[in-house]
Amino acid sequence: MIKVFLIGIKDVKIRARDPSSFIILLVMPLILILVLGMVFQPLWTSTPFTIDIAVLDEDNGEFSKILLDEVFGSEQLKDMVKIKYVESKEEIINEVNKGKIAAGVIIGKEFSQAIMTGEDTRIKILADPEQTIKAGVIKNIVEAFTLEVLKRRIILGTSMGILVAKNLINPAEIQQLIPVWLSEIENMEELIRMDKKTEKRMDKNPLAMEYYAVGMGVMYILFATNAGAETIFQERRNKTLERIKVAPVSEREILGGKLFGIFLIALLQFVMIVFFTRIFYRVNWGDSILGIIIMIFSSVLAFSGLSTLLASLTKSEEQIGNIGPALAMIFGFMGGGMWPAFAFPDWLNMVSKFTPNRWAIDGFLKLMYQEGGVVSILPEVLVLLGMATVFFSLGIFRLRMKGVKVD
Amino acid sequence: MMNIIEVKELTKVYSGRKAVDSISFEIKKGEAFGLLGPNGAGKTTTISMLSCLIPPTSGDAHIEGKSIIKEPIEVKKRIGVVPQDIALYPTLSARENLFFWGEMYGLSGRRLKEKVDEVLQVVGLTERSKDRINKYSGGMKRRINIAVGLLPSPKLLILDEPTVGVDPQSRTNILESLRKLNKGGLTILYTSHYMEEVEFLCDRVAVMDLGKIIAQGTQNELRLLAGKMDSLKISTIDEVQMRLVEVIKKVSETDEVKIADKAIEILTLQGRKVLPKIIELLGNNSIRIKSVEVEEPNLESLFLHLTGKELRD
Repeated sequence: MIKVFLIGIKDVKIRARDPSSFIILLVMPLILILVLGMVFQPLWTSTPFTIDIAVLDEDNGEFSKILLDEVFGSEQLKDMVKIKYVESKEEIINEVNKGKIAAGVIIGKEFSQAIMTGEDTRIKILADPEQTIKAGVIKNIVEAFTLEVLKRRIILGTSMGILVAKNLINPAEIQQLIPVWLSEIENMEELIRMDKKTEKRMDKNPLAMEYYAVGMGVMYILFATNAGAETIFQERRNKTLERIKVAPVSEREILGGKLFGIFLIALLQFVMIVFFTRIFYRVNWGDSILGIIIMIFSSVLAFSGLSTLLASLTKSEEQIGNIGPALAMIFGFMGGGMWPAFAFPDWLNMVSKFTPNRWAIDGFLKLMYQEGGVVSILPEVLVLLGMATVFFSLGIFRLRMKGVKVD
Repeated sequence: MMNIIEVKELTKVYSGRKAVDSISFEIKKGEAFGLLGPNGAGKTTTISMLSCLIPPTSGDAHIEGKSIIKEPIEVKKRIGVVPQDIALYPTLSARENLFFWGEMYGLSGRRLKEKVDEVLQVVGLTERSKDRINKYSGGMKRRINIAVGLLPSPKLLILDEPTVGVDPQSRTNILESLRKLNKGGLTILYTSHYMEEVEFLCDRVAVMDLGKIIAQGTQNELRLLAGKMDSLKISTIDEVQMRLVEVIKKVSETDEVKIADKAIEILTLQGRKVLPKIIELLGNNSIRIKSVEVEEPNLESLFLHLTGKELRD
């Protein structure tokens, strides 16, 4: 077992001696975090943080009132969401085009009536592509609202059907029960989860620097694990793999050592990024030290597994050197490293969930901006560990099939 | 003397081609044994099997009684291997490399440090031990490559063409170091396609070609196999009387003696053995010697004799 550690530590030592690794794995992400953080800061915050929207309420019914008065007008959101009421869709488009509003919300005619009668209806949102973060916040609030309404409608419809069928209620009384049901909706706290999150962000004066410290930091874990995986091929090139194999070291120890090296290189790199951004960029990674440690370990494990799989699928140092960075960039972008996932279109939002980046970023952001500490990141940690298990299993299986082969 | 290694019908087949074809040999403890053959003869494949790097297709070998198939870890604990290629980490220093490889052989603490210092001294690189390998010359790298093989204090040191690409001076240093180690009791299995190296170092030699051992024995035994005799050519300052012919024949244990004015030519099976006697005989007859030339059949000529081709083909 000690040989596993010795091989891993040797790999770290060799990597640390390579100036290009130092630049690629440490200097580059820190520069990117600084540049992106400074360039995109205006898009992330303004003081105070407000979202201007325009609303075209063609419904003027019970449900549109709930959304506008009780949700957007709630204590938590009323200072942040500034509503301008308009008379036409063209007016909204005009406001959006001028960049005066982040989003326009169009509540169609008979929206409330359609909900009551169980017919299809929808709320349209027109977003300013240059204010996607703010538009994304509005989109999330409206989605949470419609989801809750839909849920209630199904429950009410089913309940009413049963009551009527069993003659426990007169169909005429249904209309009288609806206001009671509506009042319950107004009190549903989960409706405005998004505003609470936003409120915490506002208190902490959110920084683009913080987001990119997470996004770029996570993206560069894959660069580091790929660099670690390259050492498997370097051992072959240097003929040192042959030499380890003729020493009294088992195949399992050799493979374990190489994988430990991959993990250790990325772990040290990411820990250094966390420390550096905390000290020099004043990035607050959250109050839960345990949560941060768990997130770091689970993220690095997932990416180590991914690089192990990549090493098992590639045939040479050159191949992994070409494919690895490309994969890191694609996963970085898709996983929300450059832009928050909540501003993604639905399809990309869904796809991003197949990348470890997305779960790692979500986990770190939860620690930064949400209460709940370790408990709150459990889903992200479990998914990352699940990914690590799958990637490692496939990668190790393939590497063992290849026998960590000596040419 | 007990055998440290016993190889029995060892065979390796790659894609239907026999790289090593049922070879058998033994090496006695403290012996320096050479595997001589041209490139592609199967020497490296043999070494790879004996080092437990690749499994044999059939046959087996035992090192100190441990099977390379059934007990590879036990075998690995007993051998030091010096591969043909320089297998070192270029960005680590010589000392760091040696520490790492020592740890791979289970050494630690003071024992490891002492062993590293010892092997550095053996290869004469103590002064440069803190330099990175990528700053070393080819010869120095080779010496550290050998030092790694010595780290585990092996019962058997296996060297696979350890002097490839080395300058003549470094080669001499390496060979002398190895001979010194052998004289100190270390058993050596040495492969090379350089006949001079094997002749210099090895007590017994197996000659390989196309995966097979085509001859093996001591150097003298192999020379005899070549069917050629040593040729002694002696030039003298004084004239050699014809009457000495019979005496020289008797001393040389051969009838092949020619005398012409101031020159004697003798063909004998044991040139080195009879030469001092001839010199003494000439001295006793007041014949001063101008020069002596000894031509012996070597392993090169043996290989030519057995295969009809040059060793370096």
